[in-house]
Amino acid sequence: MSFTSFNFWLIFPFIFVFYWAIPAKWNTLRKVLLLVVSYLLYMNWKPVYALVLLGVTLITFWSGKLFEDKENKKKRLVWPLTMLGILPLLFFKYYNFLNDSISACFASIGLQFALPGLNWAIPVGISFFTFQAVGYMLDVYHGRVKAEKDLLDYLLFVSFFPQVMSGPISKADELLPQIKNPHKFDYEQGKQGLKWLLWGMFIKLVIADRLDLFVDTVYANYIHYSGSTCFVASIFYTIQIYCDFAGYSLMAIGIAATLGFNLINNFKRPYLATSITDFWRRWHISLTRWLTQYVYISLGGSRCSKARTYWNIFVTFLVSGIWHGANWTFIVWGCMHGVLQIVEKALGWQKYEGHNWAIKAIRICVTFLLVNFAWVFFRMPSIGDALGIMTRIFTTTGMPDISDLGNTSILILLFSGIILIYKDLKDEYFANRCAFLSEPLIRWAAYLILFFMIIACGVLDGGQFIYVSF
Amino acid sequence: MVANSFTSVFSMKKYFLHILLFFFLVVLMDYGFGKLCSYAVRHAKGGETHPLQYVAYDCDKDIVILGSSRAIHHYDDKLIEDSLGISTYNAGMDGQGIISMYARYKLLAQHHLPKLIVYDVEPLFDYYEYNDAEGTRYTAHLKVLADNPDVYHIITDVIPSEKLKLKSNLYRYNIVWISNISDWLLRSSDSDFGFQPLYGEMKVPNTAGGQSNLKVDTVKQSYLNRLIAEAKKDGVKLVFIASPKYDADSKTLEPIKALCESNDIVFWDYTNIEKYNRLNMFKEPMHLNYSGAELFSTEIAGRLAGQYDSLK
Repeated sequence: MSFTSFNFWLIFPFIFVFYWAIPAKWNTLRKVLLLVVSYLLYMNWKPVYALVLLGVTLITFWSGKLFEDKENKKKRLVWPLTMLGILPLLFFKYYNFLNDSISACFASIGLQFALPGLNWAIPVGISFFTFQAVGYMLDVYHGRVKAEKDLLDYLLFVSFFPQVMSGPISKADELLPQIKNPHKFDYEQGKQGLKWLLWGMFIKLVIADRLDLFVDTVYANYIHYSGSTCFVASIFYTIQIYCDFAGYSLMAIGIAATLGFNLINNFKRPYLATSITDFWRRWHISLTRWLTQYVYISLGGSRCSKARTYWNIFVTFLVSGIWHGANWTFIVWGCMHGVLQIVEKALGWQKYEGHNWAIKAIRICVTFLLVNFAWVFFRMPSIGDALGIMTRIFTTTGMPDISDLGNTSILILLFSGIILIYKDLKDEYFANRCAFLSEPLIRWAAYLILFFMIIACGVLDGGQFIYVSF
Repeated sequence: MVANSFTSVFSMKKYFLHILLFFFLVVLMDYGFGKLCSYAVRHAKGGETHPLQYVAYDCDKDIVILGSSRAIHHYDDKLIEDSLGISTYNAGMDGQGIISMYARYKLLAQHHLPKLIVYDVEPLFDYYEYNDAEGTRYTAHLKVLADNPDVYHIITDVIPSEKLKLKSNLYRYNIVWISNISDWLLRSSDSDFGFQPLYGEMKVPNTAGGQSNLKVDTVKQSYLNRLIAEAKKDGVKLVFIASPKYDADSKTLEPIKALCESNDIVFWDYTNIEKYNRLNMFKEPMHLNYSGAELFSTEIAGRLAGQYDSLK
């Protein structure tokens, strides 16, 4: 069940009340409640896929116990067990892609080969909970954490409902102690949770979903739009994906905080990055951390020759691309980021620690544009379409035209965009200089305005659409 | 330990009180906002708000045209009125179908029964399942009139979960409040004609084509039956027209034609008439441009005059 759905918000107050009504000393009961709720919410998508969640959980739990055994023999099972843990992910997400790619390969040399296609939906969140569970298993293998003995705690760790569907990907040593600890209600933590929730909903429903109306229309029919309109759509998509993903992530973190859990903040103003390397320290931080720990460092990290380091970076981002989706476009996107980081590393451009605002601004703009063009590959259904849009952007003339959005949407996006830019700039550069924003009247006015914007200006249903015919 | 428990309980109480205070302020805001917007809707002078408001309260025309964008862009109501000498209003709306048009009919019938309804049929919006987000596409713009029992019933019939959501004015006027208020404050009076011409010509032949593997949408089907039944009961004549599309096929119209035949309703199929199958008549495959619409409206006016002599 999505956090932006009306039904979730009918149910969540009850979850909140029942959870905190249970005294801290009965922590086991609290955990059972959260576990039941997590599985029921997961099953709301497609009940049978809860078995996939359970299966991955049990495999990794059992593997963790196995790896704590000091016998080396059992440790040799790390690769087969890791493969077993990620097998459902490979099967559900990549079977059709591999099948189609292999068939196309054979077809190109005149051979016919195809396994039957799968017409199954992908279990929601499988990429996230698989990485979280396998991460735990590898942490036990490497001795970073002790194997979890309590199955209840571990079941909850993997299935914890705020994060199971879209992350953030938690580490065992972050979340498990919080699950075990019978914590009491903390007013400041609960308040911060609601603030994250409000902000997350605002940027998702008011900005991301509204931009999507335009991006969808232009990208689906890009041959009918000028190059500059396609470029504007690409910028809009760059903002959309940030607001969508960061918004949902913030909602997850906010909900967890109201229940007394601290999850890692997944986004840190990524479009103020001064390099691609910096971008990945600010974008989907939990995934970057996972890939760094379990792919990059496992391959040797930067503790090897330059060539090998560059190769490790490339492979890490190749894996990132593959993780994001089963399409060559995601692989190209991942490789683009890998190559850009290799270039930065080779030229020593990964960081900018100077104080020249002009240079900083230029670096931010260049990084933004590079990321923006990479997102085109991420978004389009095929490499051909991505190249088609890029070609259009650079070769077709004409004024940008956003009239398809409608005046109302343009007004809302302008107002919301100003709020978003202000907040991100303030948090990045002026956080300590805006004490007046903490005044109760200002804060409460801001909360009410955000709430108003969400309900009165958010894309709440399918009634909002851009009506065009091509 | 005791101190910790006390702090925790106190924190929770403070938390709940602040949440209650917040929602109290939201309720106040919602109430005031609703009052403002409902006044704006009722007094909108033009723009996007005016057509629905006009149909709901003021329309007293004898011929009313209903349908999707193909209605509003294809039928010049002023031309038809001048040609027939019978008052005509085009109440079509972009992207809408039978569910919202049935609501418009019910709103209209509460204060005025037209002599004739001309319904421009678009099978995807009027009969078959389509990418329409479980009906919210057709009910979203009706929310502003959810105080009307008929409209409320239609919205909650199509989407039962709207019952609770419609209690909020912020939700009812979601996104439309900006145009509602600007149409009240900033617009000058619109004419009492709804036709919206399209300009431009197709340069490249591009077919409107046909759809396959379509599933009947039982909700749309039921509303189509309801419109027919209620118009009959009210003594309102109905004519269904499938206005021109460029190079399209009309297979998807067959069930609707059969429905009309069984209810003794006239159906005119202009989907594939050679006279209209010209690039310079279309803005794009689904919509006639202004020239095409004028030619089409003239023909329709002539046929209506012949068919419905009793209207005069």
